[in-house]
Amino acid sequence: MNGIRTLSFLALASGCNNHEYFNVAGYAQANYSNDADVIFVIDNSTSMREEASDLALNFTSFIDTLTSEAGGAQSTNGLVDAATNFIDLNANHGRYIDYQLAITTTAVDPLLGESTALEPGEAGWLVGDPAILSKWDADVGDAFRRNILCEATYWKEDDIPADLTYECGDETDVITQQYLDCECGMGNWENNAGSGNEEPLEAALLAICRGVTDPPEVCFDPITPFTSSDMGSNNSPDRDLIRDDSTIVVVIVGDEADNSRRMEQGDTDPEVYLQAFESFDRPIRVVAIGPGWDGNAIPCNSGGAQTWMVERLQAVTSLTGGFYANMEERVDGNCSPTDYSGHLIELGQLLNDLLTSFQLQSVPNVDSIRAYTDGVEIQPATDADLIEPDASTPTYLQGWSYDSSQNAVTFWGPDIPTFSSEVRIYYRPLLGNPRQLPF
Amino acid sequence: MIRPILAFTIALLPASVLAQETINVGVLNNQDVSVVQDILYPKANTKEFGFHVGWMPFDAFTTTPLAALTYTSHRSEIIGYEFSLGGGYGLKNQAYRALEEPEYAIAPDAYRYLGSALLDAQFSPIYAKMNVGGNRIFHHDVYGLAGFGLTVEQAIIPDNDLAFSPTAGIGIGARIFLGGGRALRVQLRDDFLVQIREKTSSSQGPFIKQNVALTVGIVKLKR
Repeated sequence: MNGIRTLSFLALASGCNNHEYFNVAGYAQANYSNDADVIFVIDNSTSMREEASDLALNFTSFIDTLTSEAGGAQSTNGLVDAATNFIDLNANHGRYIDYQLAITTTAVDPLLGESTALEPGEAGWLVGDPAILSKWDADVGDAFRRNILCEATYWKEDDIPADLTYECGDETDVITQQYLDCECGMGNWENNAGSGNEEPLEAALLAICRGVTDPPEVCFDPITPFTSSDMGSNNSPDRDLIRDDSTIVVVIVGDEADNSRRMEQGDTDPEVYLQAFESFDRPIRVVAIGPGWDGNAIPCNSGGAQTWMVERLQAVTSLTGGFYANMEERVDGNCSPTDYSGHLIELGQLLNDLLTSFQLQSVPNVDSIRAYTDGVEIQPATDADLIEPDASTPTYLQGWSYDSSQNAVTFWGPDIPTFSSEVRIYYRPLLGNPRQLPF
Repeated sequence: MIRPILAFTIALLPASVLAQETINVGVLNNQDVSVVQDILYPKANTKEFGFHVGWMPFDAFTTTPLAALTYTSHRSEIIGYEFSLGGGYGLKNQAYRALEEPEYAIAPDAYRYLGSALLDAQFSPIYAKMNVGGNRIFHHDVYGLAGFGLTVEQAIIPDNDLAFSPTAGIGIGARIFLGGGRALRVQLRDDFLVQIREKTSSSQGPFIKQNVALTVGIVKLKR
């Protein structure tokens, strides 16, 4: 008996060895992929009629930029181009995002739309044909523009000017009826209104549920219209909406922010949707362009949004490493649309950062951060590595740096992990371990 | 014929004559009486060479297979001095791997055992024999040991920091003598390490770490 007691004591004593604990980032991202699946969730309710033209023109500018060489489209005209691309690839991975674009609307409940039957654009179902646009498609810009204009924007004929002199193919700075007839077919663009209850977070969740082959349990909650027959419904025969190891970027555009069904009205904590997104086991970033709330009021509120609707969207974008931008701003006492192109440039930067930045789940003690790529430690960038010492946003020649605004570790230059690298970042959280340990 | 006559004659002698011849030996005390177990396998003045294998299964985050070579000089049946050279490789156990999963995403700053060099004094006051199943007798001893040395461990987190830790240890064991100068040795040892961990050295003092090892070995005693 005494021998058993001694053995037990020794076992307990040894099991009580003290340890410090480090958080680990990079676990769910074992493969450093350059795939980005971008899902646009557009408010096509009647409240958006005033913003429709600006939305269309801004997205036209966005897609033109994205598909240009400056935006990362690769010229492959012979050996010189191939060599240039290879050098560029290793010097600046961000330009070579392999993106897919898809569009749905903020409408979830088909009973509240123009028709009671479920239609494309509702409950996360994608719009357009083809619905999934790849960077490598020959006319991705034109197809994206058509999907936005013709399937995801509410147009009221009375609000759109006519231009009888317009001919199809002409460049224009004004959306006219003739322009829309050319893009969408005669009259096919009119009265394409979705539900007046905007649920962009729920729509985004359902779009992703429809785009994976094995949806998690959260997709089948009774609160949603998603059923097993909807599995894979956003995929086409030759293309899946959500690819293996991709990063998902959700871009929400609307003037009434969010009133998604899994949260109580007035609730500003989006934890239920953050957990739902986490169940897909891949990085998801949320970007939103919506009503501007400064903490006190919404000065430009054409859609009649409540502050809690805006606050929850701002929380989601902040917590997922995205950003929130105002749809309108007050100029000389009047509200006018902001220039989306600036916001969309931020989106491009976000896509670029997907390959170079690694978000941490807790605020770290910066001195404790250790970064490894394929088991090799990457040294932190120093002042000697600064490219422009006086720049407001520091950039470095090599190493890694901590970005407190994103709570992310950013890699630079030759230390940017190559595709399919295993990246692990260890750090001590500043406020202690956030989770209860299992012992 | 003569023998029976002689026996009969002796028998007629008075017995009291023989019993009266006594020798005075003085007072006999308890401490004068000792029951001596015949030591079939003496250790005194022998050199012992051993090879041992074992495991350290009790740590919260690691499980460690290990092996060791020992050299023991037995100065007497009771006292001996030993040098031990051990090596092993600590592995992540189930608790560590569970913490690493995305659900927790935590990496304990645990260190894996790599090796040790230890000097011990052995005290083996017990020599005994046991009867196993009524069929076989095993002679064995029981000893305790205490000593000090150096243990080398390495961080499991990929910085691979090496920690050279002063070590003190105690243990208990037994030798089961097999004959031919060989013995089977079973030992439980608890080492106490003073360990500095580089990643937390600026905010945390030295750690006291315990390595508890259970080993089994074969030893050879030579004169």
